[in-house]
Amino acid sequence: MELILKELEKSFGEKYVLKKASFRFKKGKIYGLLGRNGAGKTTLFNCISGELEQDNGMIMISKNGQIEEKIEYSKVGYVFSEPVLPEFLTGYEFLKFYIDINKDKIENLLTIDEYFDIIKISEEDRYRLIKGYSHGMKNKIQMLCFLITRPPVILLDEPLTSFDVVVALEIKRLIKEIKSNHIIIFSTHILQLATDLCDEIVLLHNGVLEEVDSKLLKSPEFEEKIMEILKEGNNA
Amino acid sequence: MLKTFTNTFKISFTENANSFIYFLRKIPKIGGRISETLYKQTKDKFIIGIIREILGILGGFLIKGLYLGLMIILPSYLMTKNIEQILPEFLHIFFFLSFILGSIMETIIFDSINKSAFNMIRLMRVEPRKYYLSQIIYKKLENFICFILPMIVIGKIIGFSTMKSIVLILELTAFKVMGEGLQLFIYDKTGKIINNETLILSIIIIMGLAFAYALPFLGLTIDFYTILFNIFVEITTLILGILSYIYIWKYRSYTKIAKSILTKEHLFDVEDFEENLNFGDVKIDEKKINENDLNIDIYNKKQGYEYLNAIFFKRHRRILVTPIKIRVLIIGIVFLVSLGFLMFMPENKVKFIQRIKNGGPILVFAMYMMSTGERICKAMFYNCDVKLLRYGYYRESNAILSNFTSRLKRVVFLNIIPALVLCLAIIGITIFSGSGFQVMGMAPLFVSILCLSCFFSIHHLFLYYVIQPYTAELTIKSPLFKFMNFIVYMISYICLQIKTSSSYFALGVILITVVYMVVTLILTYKLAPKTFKLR
Repeated sequence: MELILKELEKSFGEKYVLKKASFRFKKGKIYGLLGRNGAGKTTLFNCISGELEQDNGMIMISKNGQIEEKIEYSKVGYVFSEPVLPEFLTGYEFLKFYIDINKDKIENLLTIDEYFDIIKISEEDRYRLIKGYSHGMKNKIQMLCFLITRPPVILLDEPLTSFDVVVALEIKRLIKEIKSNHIIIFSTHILQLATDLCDEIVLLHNGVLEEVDSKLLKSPEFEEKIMEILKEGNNA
Repeated sequence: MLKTFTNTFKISFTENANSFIYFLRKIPKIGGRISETLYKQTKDKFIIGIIREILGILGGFLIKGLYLGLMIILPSYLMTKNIEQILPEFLHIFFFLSFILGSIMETIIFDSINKSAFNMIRLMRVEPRKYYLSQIIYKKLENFICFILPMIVIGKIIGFSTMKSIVLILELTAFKVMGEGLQLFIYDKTGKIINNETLILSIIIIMGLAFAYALPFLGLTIDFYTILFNIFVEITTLILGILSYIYIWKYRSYTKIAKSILTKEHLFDVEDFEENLNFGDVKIDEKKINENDLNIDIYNKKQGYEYLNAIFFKRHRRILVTPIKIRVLIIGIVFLVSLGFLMFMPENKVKFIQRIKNGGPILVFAMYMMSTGERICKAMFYNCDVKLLRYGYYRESNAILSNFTSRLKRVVFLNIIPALVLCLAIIGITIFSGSGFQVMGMAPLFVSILCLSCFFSIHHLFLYYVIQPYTAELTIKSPLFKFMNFIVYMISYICLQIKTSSSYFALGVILITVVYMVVTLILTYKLAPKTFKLR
């Protein structure tokens, strides 16, 4: 399975954010999407998830040689950098609602409590309003959503920054565990996280996507190289 | 201080120009031709700013003119039926509405949703005292200018001289400054802001309106012509106005006021803020919730959107149910007062019932005022949809529609309660006054009340789903939305003036509302999947 981006273009007024960005993301790999502030990482994710419509270009999924041109929303799981959850529900109620709504897309349904056990949210917290949750807890609930529905494409927008060390490690492990069945794209500007977790690094720079040679990922000059590329053409 | 003023003015000028450019760029077809680089052109912006300012003043004339026309001249005319004799009523109503209510309710210092004050004081670090002092002068002057032209024109029509118009507006301005001073004085002594004391404010408003309209209606018009144009009153008023401004000038603790009032929460929607307060109550409940009494049993059988809305309406019952209770209470009070009236003045029974039977047009406006649809929609948006609309599954057309249906049921249910109570109250009064045999004949009236209640519930939900005026930043609203609301308001308001036989009117209302409801439901089901999204 592949996620294919073909000559994506997106502009806001006269500001061109994506300029014919093309890429093929493959199943079983974790991609680190690197880019400077305002490079358009979130815009790219919003286009893939269908929240925004691109001006030009195509987003497709190919599976066993068959190409799906219009991606169904349920194929993409999106974890926002700022958690977005209805605060008047308790964690438990939100999950029940979420599972109800997506019932027909879930394989191997567990009980709600089992799901909570996975992300280690305590019995007590499950029955509290989400409004009172910490940033990290809200993020865990968001992560849980894609663990439940297991969409083929998972987009993570700056996901680990708000977790404490223990949870971050757990989530990292979790992501590595499930990666064989998914295309995981992970945006961050923390280089270390990218080298740690990702199999491939993709740079979003000047509106286009370019892959960084994976050999470079393990090499000592990696940081310098990335810096070099990201600073390039910045004056333009 | 002058510097503070010019700086404030420059910034609001630029801001106005920017938002005007933004607005122009949003106009279909023409908008595309206006380049974004215009934001950079300081010179062009100056011209745009001036255009915007002129439009603003013209708009000001229009608004004041409309206010005077609709709120004062129209009712005065309806009471006297002769445009040349309305002067006493005009001055009477104008005094209570503008001099009294306006002065007490209008505030520059305690205006917590004043974005410009927030920007200047909190963001730009202007000294609050200087800001407020200059703004009071500027706003009162602006108010003066906007009132003066319509007032001179009205004076020409109903019979007082241009000089008198100017004196009248000068006195009004003095009263407004006094009001500002009074509010500051009360805050200084008690720490209370009148505009935040809902109970006191409601009493003042009700009293003010009663004095303004009920007294002349009962033939007790106060002769304000002699009072307001008496030379001693004129001078005293002006002196008091100046003294008030000196008091405001000498006051020192503006920084404290600015700190407590100009907060980000206040700045967003006032109602949103209230909702957050109410949400705070929910949060207190939160502590009581444990696994056993989590109400899971109550809603466990519900699925998906039914489940979501059941919980939503339960958790927001304070925002949603309290207004309904207040309405039922008001109807109850009016009912009791009417009973008392009939008891002590039985000779009016027949006339009274006749009034009610022909009351259809007034009911349209009353039902408009009673509907809580808009408030509910806002709560839905800020507390629920703004979050969930980010998710693909929530944006699916099936999801939107089943959610809509589930909400529609609840909104209609809530709004039909006061409507039913109103019907019962009318039946009660009719029977009490010995005209029980007429109840059957009033059936069209009752049906039209219920129809109107459904109509307004559906209307708001329809606008919400089809226009979706709110933005995620909780600020800008769609002009179309405002326009639609204005139209419905105007129609309801105009209904007040209609004089027609009740049963025809009721039948008309039933017909129109039913047709409207059917059309909007169809439209919603057709359009909402595309239009119901975040902006």
